[in-house]
Amino acid sequence: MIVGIDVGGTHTDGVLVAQKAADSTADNYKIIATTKVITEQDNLMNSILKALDNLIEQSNAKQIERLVLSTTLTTNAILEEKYDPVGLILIPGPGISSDYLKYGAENLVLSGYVNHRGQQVKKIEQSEIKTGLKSFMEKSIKNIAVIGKFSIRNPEQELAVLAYLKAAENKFTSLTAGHRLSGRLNFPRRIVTAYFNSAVTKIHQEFSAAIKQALQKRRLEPELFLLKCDGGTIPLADSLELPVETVNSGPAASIMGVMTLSNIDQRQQTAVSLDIGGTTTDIGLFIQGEPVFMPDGIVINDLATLIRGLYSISIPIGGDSLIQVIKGELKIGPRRLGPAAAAGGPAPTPTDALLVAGYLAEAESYDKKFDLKKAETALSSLVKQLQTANNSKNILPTAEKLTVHSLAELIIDQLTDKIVNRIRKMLADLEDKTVYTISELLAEVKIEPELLLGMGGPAKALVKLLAQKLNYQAELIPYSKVANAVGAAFARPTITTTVRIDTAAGQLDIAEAGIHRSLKASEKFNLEQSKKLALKITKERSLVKTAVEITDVESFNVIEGFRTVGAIREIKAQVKPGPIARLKGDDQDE
Amino acid sequence: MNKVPELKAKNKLGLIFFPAFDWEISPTHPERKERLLYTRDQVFEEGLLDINGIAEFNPDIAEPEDIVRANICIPTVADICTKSHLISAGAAMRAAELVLTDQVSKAFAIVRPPGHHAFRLVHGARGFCNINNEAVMVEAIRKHYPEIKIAFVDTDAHHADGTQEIFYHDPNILHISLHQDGRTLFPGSGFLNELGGPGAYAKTLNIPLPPGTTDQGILYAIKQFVLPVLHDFAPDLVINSAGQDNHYSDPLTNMNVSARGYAELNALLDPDLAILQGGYSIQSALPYINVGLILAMAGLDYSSVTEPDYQPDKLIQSKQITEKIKREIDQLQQIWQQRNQIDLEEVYGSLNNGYKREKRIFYDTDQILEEQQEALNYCPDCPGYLFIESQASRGGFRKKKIAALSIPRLICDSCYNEALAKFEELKTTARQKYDSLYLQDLKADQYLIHNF
Ligand SMILES: [Zn+2]
Ligand SMILES: [Zn+2]
Repeated sequence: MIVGIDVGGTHTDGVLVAQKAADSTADNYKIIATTKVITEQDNLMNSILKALDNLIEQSNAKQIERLVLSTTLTTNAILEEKYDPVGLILIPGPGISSDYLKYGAENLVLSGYVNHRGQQVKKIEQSEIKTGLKSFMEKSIKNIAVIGKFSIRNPEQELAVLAYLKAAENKFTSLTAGHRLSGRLNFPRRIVTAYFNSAVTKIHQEFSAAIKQALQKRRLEPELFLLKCDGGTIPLADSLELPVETVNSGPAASIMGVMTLSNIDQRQQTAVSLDIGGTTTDIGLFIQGEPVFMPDGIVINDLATLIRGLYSISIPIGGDSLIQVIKGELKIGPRRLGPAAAAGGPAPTPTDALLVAGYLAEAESYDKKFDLKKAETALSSLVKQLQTANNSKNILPTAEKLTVHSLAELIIDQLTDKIVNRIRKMLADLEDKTVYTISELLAEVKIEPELLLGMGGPAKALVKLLAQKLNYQAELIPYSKVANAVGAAFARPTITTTVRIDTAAGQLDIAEAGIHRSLKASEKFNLEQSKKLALKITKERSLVKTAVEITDVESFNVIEGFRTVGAIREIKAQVKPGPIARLKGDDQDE
Repeated sequence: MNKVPELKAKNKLGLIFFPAFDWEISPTHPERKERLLYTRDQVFEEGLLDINGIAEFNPDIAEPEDIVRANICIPTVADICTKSHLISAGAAMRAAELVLTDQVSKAFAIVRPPGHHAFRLVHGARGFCNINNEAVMVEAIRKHYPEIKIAFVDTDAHHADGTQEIFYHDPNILHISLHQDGRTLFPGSGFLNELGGPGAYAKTLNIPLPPGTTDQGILYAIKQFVLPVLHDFAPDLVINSAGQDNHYSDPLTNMNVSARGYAELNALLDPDLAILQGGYSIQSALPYINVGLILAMAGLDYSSVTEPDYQPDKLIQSKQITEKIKREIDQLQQIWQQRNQIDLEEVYGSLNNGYKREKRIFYDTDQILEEQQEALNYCPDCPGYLFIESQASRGGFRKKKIAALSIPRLICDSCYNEALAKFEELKTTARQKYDSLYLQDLKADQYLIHNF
C-alpha cells in the first residue's frame, strides 16, 4: 500500500493506493481511499497526520509500505523568512563585486580563488577564517554556507573551510558546501541556493524527527520519501543533506499527478496541462510524454537558484477570480473575494459566467449547490456598469444589446483568450531558447502540442473551449481533486550526475556525488568511456532500477602551443521523473 | 535575508553569444571549436545572463543577398561562405537590428568567425576571416537608413585592413583602427598615411601602437584622439570592433593590454554595438575581457574583473613607447584638424582620371595571392563607383581573371548611368580580357554575375 499526501496552500490532499490482490504486477494499482483536509498553516504536521489517519481509517490498512509527502514546509520557511540567521563564507576571486552577493546575516569573503579549469590560483588564508568565525559566534550564527566560485570544478577550498568549521569549538546546526548543490555553473545562484539550504535545514530536521515519531506511534513503518521540485522523490534520510531540493514541490506534484493519471509518458504525446484552481491556473508541458524542466533553475522569493524544477507557470486567473468593470473594461482577477456568486459569494466570477452560459449544466460531479439566479444577478450588475460606461471596448455588438447571456459568453471568451495567449507565449519562449552550436541553430525547434490535459473545478467546462481555440484535443484528468497526492504517491526517485573529466589537468569531478580526484595514469577516458562512467555513477546513486539516460555531452580538445594535450569532457546523466507503478485503467472513473 | 543592492544594467544590453562549438578551421588552429568555451564558462559562472537588463538572443542567419551587398565573392557566395559565416554575419545584423528597433540600448555580438580582414572582393579565407561581418551589417542597416553616419573603432591587435578597404571611399563611415604596428605584425598595414580615398579624406584613421603598449598607451590614444574625433564626426552609431588580442597573454601578438584596460576602453567609447573580432588567449584572457566588456556595456561596475595572474607592476610601459605614442597622436591630431583645408590633388595627384590603387593581397589562411587594381571614378557630388580588376593564383596556378563594378547606394545619377553603361559595354567587349564580370549595385539592390 502506498500513501501520497500533498500539502497545498488551502487543502491537504491524500490518497491511498494498493495493488489488487489477484495480480501483483506494478501496473495494477487501484485507489482505495482519498481525503481532503484544511491545511493548518502553522501546523503542517497536523494536517499531514489528519489526512493520513483519514486514509488509514477508510481503508482499514494495517500497514503501508511507502509514504510520499509533498509539503510546503521549506517553501514557507523561505518565503516567510522563518529561520535562524545564515552566515555566508564566500570565495569569489576576481569578477562581479561580492557586494551584490552578501545575502548572509554575516558575510565572510575569503581571498582564495579557483579558476574556470578548476586550478587553484590563490590559496585561502586560515587566519581569515579564524577572524571571520569570531563575528559569526558573536552574532550566534549557527547556519553556515560556504560557496566558492568554480567550486564544482574543484571543491578543495570549500572543503577546507568546512573542515576548519567542523573542528571549531562551537557546533553548527547546518553547514552547506556549495559544490554539492548542482553540477551547473552560476556562482550567484549557488550562493542563494546554499543560503536557502542552510536556512531550512533545522526546520527540516525537526519535521523529519516529528514525522518519524508520529509514524512510530501509529506503528507504521513505511519507507518515507519527500517529493522534490524536479518531480522525483528522495528518501527522507537522504533529504537531510540537501533539504532545499524539496522546495516548491506543489507544481511538481501536480505535473506528476497529470502524468500518472493520463499515462502521457507511455503515450509519448506532446501536451499542455492545465490545473485550473480558484484563483490561479497552473500550466505545465510534456514534450513527447516527458515533463519539461525549467531552463536554468527555479526562482524562489524572487531569487534565481540552481534547484532543478519542472517547468510550470502560474497565471492569476481561476474559477473564483473577481470580475469587475474598470474604466469601462472587464477585468478578470487577480483578486478573489470569495466563492462564485452562484455559491453565495459576494461578486461575479468566471464560474458564474460558465453557469449562466450553460456550460456547467451537465457537470454533475460539480459538488457545489449552484444557484443560477444569484449568478445572473451578479452578472447583470456588470451589464449595467458596462452600459453606463461610454468607452466600452469590450462590447459586442453594442452596449445596448448586451444581455446577461452575451456578457457571460464575452467573459468566457476573454478568459480563454488570456489562457491561450499565455500558452502560446510559453511555447514561443521555449522555442526561442538560445543555442551554441550551428547544428542546433539550423535545426529549428517547434513544439507542437496535440493535447490539452485539464483538471480542477472549472476544467470540465473550460478545457473543451480552450482546446478548440488552440486546435488541440481536450482530455480531462480523472481523480483530479487528489491528482497532486497521486503524483506524490507514484513519483520515483530522480537523480542527476555531472561527470567532468579534464585529461589535460588530470582531474575528475562529479560535483553531485562529492567526487573530486586525480586521474590515474591508466584512466584515459575517451568519450565512450566518459559516457559509460556517467551512466555507471548515476546507476549506483539511483535507488530504482529505472533506465539512466545521458542528457548532455560536451567534449573539447585542450591545445597548448599547437599540440593537443588532452580533452575536457562533460557528461550529464539522469534518472528522469516518472511513475514507479500505474493505476489500472478501467478503474479510473471517479 | 540580508538585502543586497540590485545588480541592474544601466543600459539594456542585448547579448548575442554564439560560440559555434561545432565549427573550426582545424583542430589546432587558433580559430577552433573551444575558442569561446572558457568565456562561456566564466560568463555562466559569473551569472551575467541573470542580470536584470542583460538579455540573450540567438543570431540571425544571413542570406547570400545580405553578404553580396558587402562582399563580392569569387566565384560565388557558396564557394566562400559556410553556414558559420552566414551565422556570424547574421549575428552582427541581429545585434544592429536589436539596437535600431530599440529592443535594447546596446548590443554585443560575441561570435566567431571574425570578419575584419575580409576585403570587398573575396577569393578565400584571410586572417581567419572570409566574410566581413561588420560590412554586411552596415549594408543591412543602410537598407533602412541610407544616410546614417557610422563610426568604427577597431581595437583588435591586427590592423582592420578589410573593413578599412571596404569603406575607404565612404564619407559616411569613419573607420579608426588601433593596432600593433604593422611593421611587426600581420597584415603589415595600418599606417598614419592611410587616410581614405579622395572622397573620404581622414575618414580612415590608423593608430599603430608599438609592441609593448599597455593600458596606459591605448587609453591615451582613445582619450586624446579617438574621443575628440568621434565628437567632431558626430556619428549616429558607434561600433567597437572588439578584438581582444592586444592582451598581454595573447599568443599571436606582443601587446600588454589587460582585461580591465579593455573594459575601460569600451566604457570610454560608449559604443552602441560591439562585435568580437580576434583574441586567441582563450583561457587566460578572453573569459575576463568578455566579462569586463559585458559589464562595461551594461553600464555596470567592472573594476573587480581582472585576470587571476594580473600583476600591474609587471606591465609598465617604457618611456620610449609613451613618447612614440604621443608623437603619433600629435601628428594625427594635426591631420584631423586640417582635414577640411587639405588640397586633395596634393595628396592624391590629379583626380581628372579618378583615383587608382594597386593591391597585392595575400590570403594567409588559404594561401592565395591576389593582384588587384581598384579605380575610383572620383566625383565631387557623390562617393563614386569602383571598377575593380582582379586575378588570383594559388600555389603558382592562376585562377580566373575577373572585373567588378561596385556602386554605392548614394551614387549620383550621372555616375550611376555611367557605371551601368560600363557594365553593359564590358559584357560585349571584354570577353578576351576577363572570365567573369560582377555588378554590385547597392542603389538598385542588385547583384549580377556575367560569365563569359
Ligand atoms: Zn587580431
Ligand atoms: Zn557622382
